Amino acid sequence: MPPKNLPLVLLVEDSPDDVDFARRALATSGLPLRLVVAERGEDALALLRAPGENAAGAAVRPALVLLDLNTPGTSGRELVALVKSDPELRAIPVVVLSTSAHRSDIEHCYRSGANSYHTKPDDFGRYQEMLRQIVAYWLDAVVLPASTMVEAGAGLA
Amino acid sequence: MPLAAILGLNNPRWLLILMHRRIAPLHPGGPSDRRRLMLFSTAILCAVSLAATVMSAFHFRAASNWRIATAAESSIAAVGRSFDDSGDAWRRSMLAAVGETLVLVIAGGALLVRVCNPFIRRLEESDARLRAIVSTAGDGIITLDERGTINSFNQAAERMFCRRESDMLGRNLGELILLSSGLSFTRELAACRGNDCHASQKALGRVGDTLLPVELSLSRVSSGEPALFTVIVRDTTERETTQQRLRLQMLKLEEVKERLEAKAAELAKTNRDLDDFTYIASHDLKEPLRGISAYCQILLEDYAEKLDADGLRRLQALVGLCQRLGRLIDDVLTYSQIGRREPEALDADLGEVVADVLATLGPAIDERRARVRVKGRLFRLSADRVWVGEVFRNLIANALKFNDSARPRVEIGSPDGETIYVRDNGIGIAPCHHEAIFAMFRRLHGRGKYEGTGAGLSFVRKIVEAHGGRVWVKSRPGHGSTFYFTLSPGSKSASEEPAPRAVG
Repeated sequence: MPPKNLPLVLLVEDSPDDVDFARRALATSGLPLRLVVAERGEDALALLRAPGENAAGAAVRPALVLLDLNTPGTSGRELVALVKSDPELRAIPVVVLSTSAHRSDIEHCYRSGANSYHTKPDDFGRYQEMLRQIVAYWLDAVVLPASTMVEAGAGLA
Repeated sequence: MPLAAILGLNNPRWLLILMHRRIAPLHPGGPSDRRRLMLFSTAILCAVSLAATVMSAFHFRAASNWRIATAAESSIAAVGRSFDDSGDAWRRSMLAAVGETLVLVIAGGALLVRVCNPFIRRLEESDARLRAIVSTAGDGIITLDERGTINSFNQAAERMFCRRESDMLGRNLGELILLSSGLSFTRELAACRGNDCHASQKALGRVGDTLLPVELSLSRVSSGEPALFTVIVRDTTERETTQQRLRLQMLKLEEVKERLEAKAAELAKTNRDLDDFTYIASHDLKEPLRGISAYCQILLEDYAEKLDADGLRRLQALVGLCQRLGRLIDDVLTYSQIGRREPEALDADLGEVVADVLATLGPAIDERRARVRVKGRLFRLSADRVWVGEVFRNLIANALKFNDSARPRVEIGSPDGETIYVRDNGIGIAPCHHEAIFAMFRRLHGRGKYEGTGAGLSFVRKIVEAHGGRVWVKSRPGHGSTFYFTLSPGSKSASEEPAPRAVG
């Protein structure tokens, strides 16, 4: 049984291949985290709005959202706007990953409140490296609000 | 004066003597008979003198004229002297006076005839000329009085209206011509004061039952009374038909132009649609390619020990192919992107654009130990900075790449402020490839020798043409290449380009 007290990273990605690559990249990074995957925008929103509880009964929200821009249903663009306009959720960092370097996509995401925007490198090695850096930055270098962090061991009775 | 000389008119005195000798013996009588005879011979003498004078006048010989006049005078004096025996002094002096007067009249008349003759002749000539012009004129020329009654009707008018002049004289022009103004000729003529009352007005001529389109020029010739008017009538049938044909042609041309414009717009839209499609298709193609490439990497990293050397080599080859396919797709993406939007038209300093490009190419230039220089000053123009930068980047990168020289040299310049050139001392291009090199993915060398997809020059051409310009090359193998381009329409043709020089 995986430890439940690790920081949650929500990956919104519909391509199983990309999920596989992300899993591998994060697994080989050695960073302590728990990856949750939502295939569609709606699933991601539901998960964010009805968070799980830890053993102490405190709501546990993802510490980081990795969002693929081209998700089906509620699109990545809409999801950024929805999360960032929700007072309960807007503190959660949303990092956009996209194959598009289109100016309007980048503009829209930042205006909607995305924390950063990254184009996926074609080279797998560089892609892995980029993912590791992003996650290390947000989970390790940055101090996040308590509501999103689950300290290892904390809250365990 | 040969004729007068033959008739002996030069010397009328012997005529007189002849008459005395012949006539006097035949009529012996009293002094009254002799007097009658004298008067008779004097009259003959005068007539002969007058005839001689008129003849001499027509022969324009003033000297002989004078001789005749004086000869006549002396003859009359001789006649007078023959009265001596009668002792009639007053008669003698009267005869002398008559003689003097006669001589003066004859001489004056001759002089008058002589002086007026050239003028009369000139008047006759000009009259004949005018008649010739009027009768042979292509336009109908009709003269009228102030009531519109026809005075003359030239041959062209006869032909135009199929009427004879003799039938038309004395008739009113209103019977033949309907003015487009609807006014009667009499009113039109009454309004005509100046030389040219109506520069031209359209009218219809009656020819039998049909109406002929004509153009009229009405003018008042004499300002006095009675007034005289001329009407110049021009048959405009041919002109109207030509004009109508021209109008039809213009309409047809307009139609063709509209059709062509619609076609051009349609083509432009199709091209844009095609570029859109290419963009989306290649974007979607990249997604699975990234996956294939990633799995290859994972296999290489995680399963290396489970594969033998051949397996590893082939997996490596697969990674290489994926990379190449990725570059091709990227190029197609770039190519389609150039066509998906209009180039921005912003003020751009080509000198700055080139400086930026050279900064990004810095490592490549250093690596090749190349010298790139801008000769003179480049110009400013309204263009898409980013795209124009791409043009320079591709041309300069090619100049460095296709160059076997130990010290590659590249020169950029624009001697005429319109055509820009990028010249190198590279390997050069055979003339048969000068057009082909601009085609997408066209490569002249094996992949092993020079890297690249062969898309660079197709970008250059697409960007240049999107600005309305042209790109061409002058090159020979082993003598370097010079690429020329313009960035605006109406630029100079290839024949006027500056002469290429090899870069040393």
